[in-house]
Amino acid sequence: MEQNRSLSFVSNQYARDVLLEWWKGLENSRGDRAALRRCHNPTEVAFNPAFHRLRMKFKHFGYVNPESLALIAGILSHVRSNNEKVHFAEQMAAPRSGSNNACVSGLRFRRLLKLYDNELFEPLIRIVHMLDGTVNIPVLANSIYWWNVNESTRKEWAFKYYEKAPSES
Amino acid sequence: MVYNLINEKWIPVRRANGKKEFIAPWQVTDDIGSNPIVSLDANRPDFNGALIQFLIGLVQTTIAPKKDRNWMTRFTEPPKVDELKTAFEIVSRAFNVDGDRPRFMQDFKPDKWESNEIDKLLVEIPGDKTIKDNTDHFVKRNSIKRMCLACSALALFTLQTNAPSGGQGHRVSLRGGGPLTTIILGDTLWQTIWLNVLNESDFLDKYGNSSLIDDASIFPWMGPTHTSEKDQLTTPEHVHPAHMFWGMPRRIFLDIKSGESGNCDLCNQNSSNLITSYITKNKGTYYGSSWHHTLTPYRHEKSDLISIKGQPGGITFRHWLGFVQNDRKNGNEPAVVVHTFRLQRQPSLENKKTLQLWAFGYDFDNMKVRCWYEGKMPLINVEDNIRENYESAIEQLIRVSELISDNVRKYAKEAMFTRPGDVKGDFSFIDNRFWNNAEPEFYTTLEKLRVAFSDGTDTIVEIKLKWLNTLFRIGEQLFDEYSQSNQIDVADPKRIALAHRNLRKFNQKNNKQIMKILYLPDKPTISKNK
Repeated sequence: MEQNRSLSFVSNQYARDVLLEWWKGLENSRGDRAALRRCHNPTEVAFNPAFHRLRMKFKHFGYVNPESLALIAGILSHVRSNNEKVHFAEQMAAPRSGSNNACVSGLRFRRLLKLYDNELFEPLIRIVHMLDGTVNIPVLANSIYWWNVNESTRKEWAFKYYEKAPSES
Repeated sequence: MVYNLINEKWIPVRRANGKKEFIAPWQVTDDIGSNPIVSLDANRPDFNGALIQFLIGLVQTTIAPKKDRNWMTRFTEPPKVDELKTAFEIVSRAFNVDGDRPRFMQDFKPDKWESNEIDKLLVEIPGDKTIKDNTDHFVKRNSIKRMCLACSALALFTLQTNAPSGGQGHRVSLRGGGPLTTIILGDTLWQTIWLNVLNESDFLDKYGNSSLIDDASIFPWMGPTHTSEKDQLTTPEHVHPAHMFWGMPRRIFLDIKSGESGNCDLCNQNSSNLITSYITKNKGTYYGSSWHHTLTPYRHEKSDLISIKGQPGGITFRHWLGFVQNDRKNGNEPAVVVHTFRLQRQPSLENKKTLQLWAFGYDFDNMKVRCWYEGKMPLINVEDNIRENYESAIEQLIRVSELISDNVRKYAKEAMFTRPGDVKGDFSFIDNRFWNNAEPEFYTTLEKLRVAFSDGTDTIVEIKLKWLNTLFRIGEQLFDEYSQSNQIDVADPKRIALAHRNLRKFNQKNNKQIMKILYLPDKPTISKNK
C-alpha cells in the first residue's frame, strides 16, 4: 500500500504536535513506557497499548505504515528531552563534552547509513543513549519513517553530519 | 552526358509545405512567393553544412551585391530563377563531376596514384589501421561500397572543405582541420544564402588578390594544383578571394570507369553510374594560416589569426562570446558575416527581427573524427545606445557560468574520487550537461536584460542574481547526479558530504570572485531571490 506522501513530522505541524503530545504522555503512563523500553524489536512494540494509542491518533492521516510507526514509538520511548534547534545528524556530530570527537563516531555513522529501516531499531536506541537522551524528535521520527523510501534522508544526514564534523574519519 | 552540378537537380531541399525534392542550385528561389524552399535536407548533417557553404560560395562568387543598397534590394526581392540560372551558367564549366578534365574538386593532372575505396571520402569511415586492428566497433567497415555521382561530389566537397590532417603530406583544409562554421539563418533558403554573402566591395578588397580573375585562381581544379612537395604555401595573395569557398587541399580523382548501376549506399537513389573508388596522392595545396574565411570565427593569437575548430563539448551559449559578440578576454571574434550582419544589416531590416545563428563543425582528433556538433543561438537586435551595456552584461553572465561550471566539475570529481587530481580522462560531459541545462534560462535572461536596458529599469542586479541562482540550482543537480549522492550508503558518504560542503561554500552570492565578475554591490540589495 502506498504510504501517505504528505506525512511529515517536520513540516506538518499537526502531525508533529500529535507525535510530541503522545511522547509527553508517556511521562504519565510510566508502566507503558518501561514496557516499551524493554522491547527488543518493533514486533514487541506492537503488543504495547501505548503504541496503539499512537496508531489511533494517526488514523485520520490516511494510511500510515504501522511497522515504521512501531519503530518510531520504540525508539522515542528512550528519548528524555526534545531539542529542535539543530538537526539530529548535527547532534550526532557535536563533540562530547571534554572531547574533540563527535558523540557518534564517523565509523558508527557510516555503518548506520548502510542499514535498512528494519535494522535501525537497536542502533538508533544506542545512539539516543549516546546523546544522553536529548534529540530532535520530529527530525528523528521523520528520518525513520522515510528511511527506505528514497535516499534523500541519508544524504541529508551525511551532508549535515560532515558539515559539522569534517574531520571525523 | 556530363554530370554538372549547376545543371543537375541534386540538392536535397525542403519546401515550406514540408515537401522534399531535389533542385539545381539556380532553383533556390523557385516558387518563393507561395511555397518557398526553406531549408536543406540532406540525409547527413555534415552534408547540409557543406551544401549551404557550396551555395553561399557560388552566390558570393557569381552575383555578390555591389553595395549595401543592392544587398537589401535582393533580400526583399529575391532574384528570379532565370537570373540565377544565367549567372551560374557562366561558371558551370567548373562544375562537371565526370567527363573530361578539369572536374569539380578533382586534381588537374591525375596519374598512377594510390587507389582508395570510395567510402574513404567520408571522414568517419574506419581507416586502414582500425580495420587491421579490428577496432571498427561503432562505424563498421564495408557499410558504404558504392556512391552515386551527386553523393560522391558532395562527399568530395565536404572532405575538401573540412579536411583533417590525413597522414604525411595530406593537407588540411583552407581553415585547418575541422573548422567551425557559423551561418545566419533566414526564413527561406535564399535568405540564408544571401544573409551570409558579403558586399563585393568589402569582399574583394580584403580577402585575396582580386586582380587574379582566371578560372584557376578561383576554382583550383581548373588548373595545375599548387602542390607542396617542399611545403610551399599557397596564400591569399596567390589567388582570387572567392578561392576560400573552393579550397582543395587534397589531390583526388574519382574513378568513374568503375561505374556500375544500382542504388547508392548513401542516398539510396537509383543510379546507372555508381562509383566505388578514387585515386589520391599527398602533397596537395598547403594553405597555411594566413587565410580569413568569412564564415568562420577566429582567435587573435599574437599577430596571427587562428580559425576556431570544433571542440569536444559541443556548441552551446558558452560560445556566444566569440560566435556572436567579441570575446575581448580571449581575443575571439565572430565570423565576418556575423559582424557585418549585426552592425550593418540587422538594424535596417524590417522589424529588426531576431534571427538564428547556426554553428557547426567536426571535432577531429588528428585524422580521427570524434563528433559532429551543431547548435543554434539567437542574434538579438538591440539599440545602439544600449548595446555596450547589454553586451557587457551578457559577457558577465557567461563568465560567471564558466566559473561555476568549472567548480561543479571540480567538486563532482572530488566527490567521485579519493585523489581527484590524479584522475585522468575527459570530464567535459559534466560541463556539457551544465551548459545544456542552463541554455533555455540563458536566453530568457537575455531577453529580460534587453527589456531592462531599453526601459532603463533598475532590475539588472536582480536579473543577475536570478541567473546566479539558476546556475547554483543546476550545479547542485549535477553534483547530486554525478557524485552518486543518491547512493550515499554504498559510496563514500564522507567524501561526498565534504565535496558538497566545498561546492556550497563556493556557490554563494557573496563569493568575492562571483561578485567581481558580475559587478555586484557589496551587500546584495535583493534577498528575497531565493
